[in-house]
Amino acid sequence: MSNAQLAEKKEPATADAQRLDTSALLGEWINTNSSATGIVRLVLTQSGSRNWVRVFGAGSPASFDWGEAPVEIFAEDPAFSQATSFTSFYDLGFMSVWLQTYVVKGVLVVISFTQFRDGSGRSNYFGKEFFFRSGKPLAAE
Amino acid sequence: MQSVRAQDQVTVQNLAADSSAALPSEQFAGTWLNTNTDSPGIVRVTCKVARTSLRLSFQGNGSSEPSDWGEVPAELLCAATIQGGPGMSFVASFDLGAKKAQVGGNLNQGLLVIAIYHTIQNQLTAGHSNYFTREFFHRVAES
Repeated sequence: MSNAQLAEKKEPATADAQRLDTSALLGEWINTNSSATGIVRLVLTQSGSRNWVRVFGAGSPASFDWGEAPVEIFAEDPAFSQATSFTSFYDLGFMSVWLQTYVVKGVLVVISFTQFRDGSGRSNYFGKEFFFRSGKPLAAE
Repeated sequence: MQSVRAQDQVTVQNLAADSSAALPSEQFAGTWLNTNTDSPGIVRVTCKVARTSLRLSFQGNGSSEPSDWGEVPAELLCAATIQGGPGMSFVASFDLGAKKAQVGGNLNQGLLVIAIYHTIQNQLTAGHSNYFTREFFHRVAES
């Protein structure tokens, strides 16, 4: 499934979701563990009414760019308008990853559920990593 | 072996023979109660295990959340490591009509931690934001 197809699949069901204030999420997030072997960096952007995440996995000499995937954003309470969490899904063919995240005390907690589909013998596994925000958030369009 | 993270670059020799086989899920079996007895959300989680399949049913508090969320299968069961082992986390989803809920659960220190991402589906709840909850459950001792 292409990212465009994913965007269609993950488009927020109501306009309400699009009205959430994403200022607490947008921008670049860096893994608090500088020796991380999982996700080293994420970038949250907004384009029109859609929000996207770009994940970079640990690699050498350069990190692996997973490309952009659409995200769905959430507030802490149905009455709130400030987004503090998001979910996303990557289908990379040989594996897929569900991302479930939330911000607490300025830290972005990223839960990943990884499923391998390549017959490599690798197990589905769970991960939890922590990220801090770097610099200024990216400007919303 | 393809990978997009250093930690996924493992050698076959380091994998158990059945690493990619369906994971056992007995660790979830039973009834779990919210550690917060005043929770406005989910008060009880019931996990039924049949071999490697896991089925979940949630009970809400009946006011801000429906009392019966029905029963759904876990869509994905994950081990703690890429080398495999018992299932210790899952992904599931509920369709409650007025909203959909994507659920992530994991075992940690004897607790079942449940994160729920609620997506509003209908206009009756217009004005409500999609929202996120995270709650903790302890296992009910078997009598």
